[in-house]
Amino acid sequence: MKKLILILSILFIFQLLLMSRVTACGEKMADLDAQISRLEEENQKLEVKIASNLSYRQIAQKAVEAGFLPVSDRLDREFSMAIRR
Amino acid sequence: MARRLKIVQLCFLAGFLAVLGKLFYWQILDHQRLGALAIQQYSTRREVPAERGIIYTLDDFPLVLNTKTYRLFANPSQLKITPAELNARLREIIGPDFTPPSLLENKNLQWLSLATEISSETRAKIEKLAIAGLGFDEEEKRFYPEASLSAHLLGFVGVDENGRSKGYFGLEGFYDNELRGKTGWRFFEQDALGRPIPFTLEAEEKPIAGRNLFLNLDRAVQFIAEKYLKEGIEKYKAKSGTVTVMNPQTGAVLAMAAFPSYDPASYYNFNSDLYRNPVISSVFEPGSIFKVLVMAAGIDSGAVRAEETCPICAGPRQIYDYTIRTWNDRYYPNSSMTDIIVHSDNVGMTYVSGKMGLDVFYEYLKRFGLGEKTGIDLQGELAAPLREKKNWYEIDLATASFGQGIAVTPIQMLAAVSAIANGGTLYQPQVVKKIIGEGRSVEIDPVVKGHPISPATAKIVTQMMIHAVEEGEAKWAKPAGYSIAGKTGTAQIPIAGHYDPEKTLASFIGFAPADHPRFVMLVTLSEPQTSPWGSETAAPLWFNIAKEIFRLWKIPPTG
Repeated sequence: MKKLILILSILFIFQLLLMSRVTACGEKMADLDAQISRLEEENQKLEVKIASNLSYRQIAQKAVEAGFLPVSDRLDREFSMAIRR
Repeated sequence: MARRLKIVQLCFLAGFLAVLGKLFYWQILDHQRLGALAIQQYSTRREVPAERGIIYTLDDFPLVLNTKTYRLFANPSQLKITPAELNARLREIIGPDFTPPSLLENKNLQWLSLATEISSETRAKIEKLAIAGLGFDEEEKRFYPEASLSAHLLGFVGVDENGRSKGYFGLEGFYDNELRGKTGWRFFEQDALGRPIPFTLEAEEKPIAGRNLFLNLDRAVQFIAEKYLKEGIEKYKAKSGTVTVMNPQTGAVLAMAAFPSYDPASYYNFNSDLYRNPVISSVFEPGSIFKVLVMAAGIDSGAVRAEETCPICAGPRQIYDYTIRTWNDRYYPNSSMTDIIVHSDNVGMTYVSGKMGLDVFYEYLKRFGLGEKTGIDLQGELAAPLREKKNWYEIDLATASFGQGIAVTPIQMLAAVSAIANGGTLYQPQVVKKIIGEGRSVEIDPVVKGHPISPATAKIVTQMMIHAVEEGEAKWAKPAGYSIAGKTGTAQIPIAGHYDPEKTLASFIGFAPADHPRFVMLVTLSEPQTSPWGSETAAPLWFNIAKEIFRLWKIPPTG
């Protein structure tokens, strides 16, 4: 009888440990899911940022701000200077 | 005493029987309903949305990307603060434009949308407020790194009648099934906090991401086309305009610009008339640019020869009650066929169509693909059907020879002239080069729709078009050293059964380098105010864009 109680007690403790482990695993899984989601979102944001910075719209705007002239304008000006000379 | 004990025993027995009966009812009779209720309580089925496909240009640059945004919603029955208090607290984060819906006071509601397009940063700030009764739904939004560049070509993503994302117009509409992918789902058991319980029953169907489109579109050429078209419309005070560039050797669409346009990211703020792409869905009377097709038909059919002279070109031509004149009322007796194209001679063109006759003329219109859709892979293409042959009269044949009384779309015109540029093959215009998805890659080959003219005819007409550029009205604008084949056009716009003399559609169509064309381009300007003529508006715009393309593609001058 004592042996039976002992075995049942061990099984009960084992069950408790297992349940606690499963709960911890569930929490870890939820954390990992959240992390995947966050990393995917960050990755998406970086892709958007790269594409925005590489867009011709941005490059053209930055070139104008930096004082660059379109090649066509430069050539036309030089060409008309040459004709005047 | 014994009797009382008996009664107590009976009471206990009745109690046990009642419990047993109820247990029997729950576990045997009502098992299915209660089982389903229990599953609902501890398990959940979540939809996993599929990411919509990305659209790349020829240089693998994403013209459209996806970004994650959130919809803020409230459960009014769970709100512990007043709507006014909620409003004040959310305004600090979302901004002063935030106005909560009046339905917020209705405590019977379970779900009420408060704001859309919330960023993850804003979401985090709102979550910090820890207001009970607020929640977030994840949403996907299209992002356009080049803003409204190629808006007409791309189309936009809206929602269908069931509230699901759906592509409309352009590529988004045409390739909606490819781009949208397949929504997945996940079924799992969860604990009280909504976290999944491992090693329990779990089933899932993974989402299938939408396929990515890789276009023939050259981003630099598209940028140049849009920039110059915008400037051209302002400079010539035109109402609208289009620029379309195509590779005549394959039918690949390299650029397609149209103004006025709209922003696909906020399409709902624009008039819906702007959604239609005029390059594929607006029909116009092409005017003189049509002459090259008629001349090609005349030469290919053997009705006229290139060196032949026109015996009726000395003055205006009378057909019944109508008098056919040239655009400037100047006449050139004994003009050659080349002269007719160079001078854009309407009378000369009536000679060519007259020699062909209606049957041959009509047959060539069909061969050039007129009267039917080109089959371009964009949603919204229209094609003006050709008038039935029995309804054509002599005057119709005469006016159609110089592009009046016949309607085409810009893309039809471009595809037809491409056949002259490439030696006689009519290609289907194509925007998408390849489609790549999970485990599947489809390369789209050029589609030949026919051979309307022979290579010899194409060569002769190309020479005529080179002369038209070198000696025609637009020669002043042509970039020096380059061999360009082209033709100007100025068409009157038909309004309520007559032509408005004040309103014209100026155009220029051509290809370069003429000996081995790398591109064919059509420029149209509707109702330019500075000059009604194509030679003074559309042609210089065409040449300016061509100069940029020569520089971009490093095409050297030949002479």
